[in-house]
Amino acid sequence: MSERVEHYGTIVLYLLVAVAIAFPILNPIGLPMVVSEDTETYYKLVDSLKPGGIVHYGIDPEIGGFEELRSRMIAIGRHLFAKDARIVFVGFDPNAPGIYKMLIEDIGVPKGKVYGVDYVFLGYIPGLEIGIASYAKDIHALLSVDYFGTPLKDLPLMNEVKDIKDFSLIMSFSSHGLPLNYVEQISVPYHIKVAVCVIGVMAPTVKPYYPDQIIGFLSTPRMGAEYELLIRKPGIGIADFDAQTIAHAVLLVFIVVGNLTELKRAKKR
Amino acid sequence: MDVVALWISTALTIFTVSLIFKETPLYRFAQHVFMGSAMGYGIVMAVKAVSDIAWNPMTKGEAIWIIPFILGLMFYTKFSKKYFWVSRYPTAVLVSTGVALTMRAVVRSSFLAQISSTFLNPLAPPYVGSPQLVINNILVIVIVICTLSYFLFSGEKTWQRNPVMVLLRKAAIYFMMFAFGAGFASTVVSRIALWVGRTRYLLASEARSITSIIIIFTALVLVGQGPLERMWKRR
Repeated sequence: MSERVEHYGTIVLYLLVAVAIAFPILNPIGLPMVVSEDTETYYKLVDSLKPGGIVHYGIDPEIGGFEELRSRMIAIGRHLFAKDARIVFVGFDPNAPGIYKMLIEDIGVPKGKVYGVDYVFLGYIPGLEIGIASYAKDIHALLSVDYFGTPLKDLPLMNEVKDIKDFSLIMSFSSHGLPLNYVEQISVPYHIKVAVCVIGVMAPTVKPYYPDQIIGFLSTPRMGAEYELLIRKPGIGIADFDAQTIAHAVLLVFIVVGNLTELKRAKKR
Repeated sequence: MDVVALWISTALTIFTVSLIFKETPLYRFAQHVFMGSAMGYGIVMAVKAVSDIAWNPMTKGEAIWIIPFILGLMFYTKFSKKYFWVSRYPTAVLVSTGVALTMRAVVRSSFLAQISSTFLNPLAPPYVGSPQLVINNILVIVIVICTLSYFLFSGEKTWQRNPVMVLLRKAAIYFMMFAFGAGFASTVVSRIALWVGRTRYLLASEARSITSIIIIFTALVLVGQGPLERMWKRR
């Protein structure tokens, strides 16, 4: 009997969370939002870029973690293009090419921005830490073509980038421990701090490195919504904000009820 | 093509979620499709990386790339009982390179720099102006000391039972519980974000009708599966 209750209870919980998520997506509520200090710091970091500055944009999440990072990746990509920064997209995770295709469509390359001049995609570089170290030391020694097979010497943007020191800003968007590899292979040997966006699960692992070794740190999907607010371009972050908040509230209620029930049961025993 | 992709991704999402109710052939189908496509994607990416980074430059005269190629091929001797030992050489190269690269930085990044970032003077500028930063810095110092003391296993019994040590360890348990709680909450946030993303996709105007059709189809399979299985067993 109790197994049955547990089974159907789980289904009810899932259905309630599903409704809590679906309802605000279909009928946006517009819950109030406060921009956190970390988001503001990251925003200022990007906003202070000079026009023409070259940015390393590390597409490093696994496909499962991309959804959580998506709003932040889009908003920051749009901000970079708006600041006339030139972007080198590259990934140290094999999912990078698939994600790049979706991301560049989501960001929407502004009119006048040309591939090879304003942005490039170098594809997936294997080897994790070894790959990052080789990339940081000499990009042209590691790669001779971009992801689409165009020789790097034919891409004007890549003629201005030789190694990691030629970037004005280094960013990594990751769902695993890659940001720490960035710290070890870029921050330590070259004394260049990196800006990092991670999924919530990774926040406790990466946060201790901020702000001394990591210059910018965004750790939750809520920060994607905040960033959209700062750049005044509402997107999926703000659209998802209501759904996330209500779903978290439902879970919170279930956690409290579950614990109280368990306490009651323990007292009876 | 976009419509076909929409149908496929909507169906696979709903088939996978059907596991909440019970395991169905639809769920197993989605699982196998995922495994197969993930493997296929991984292989294509690996081959492309080898081709772009090493093979093409090598064929154009950069002879140095022949060394990693030979080392890579040596890994395949793992499948031979007679020449298994050969695979130890590329493994050794890989491990030693990895360890050397990590060691040159990890002492600085994860040890020295972290210690100096942890033990900040809470009353020194620029912290002294901000009560929040002062409290944060004090908390970090106290929590690090307590947690480290929890993992001191050696020493005399009297030292281990010292009231100060006992107090530090008791405090450490609570601090670690807070940390585990925060970690768990972060995991929940991640999973909900994933769910929100998929729901947004399923409820997008162009996908709504497809979502409805596939939900009905999946529900029919869920309802009909039990009677069909019983019928099959009776036969």
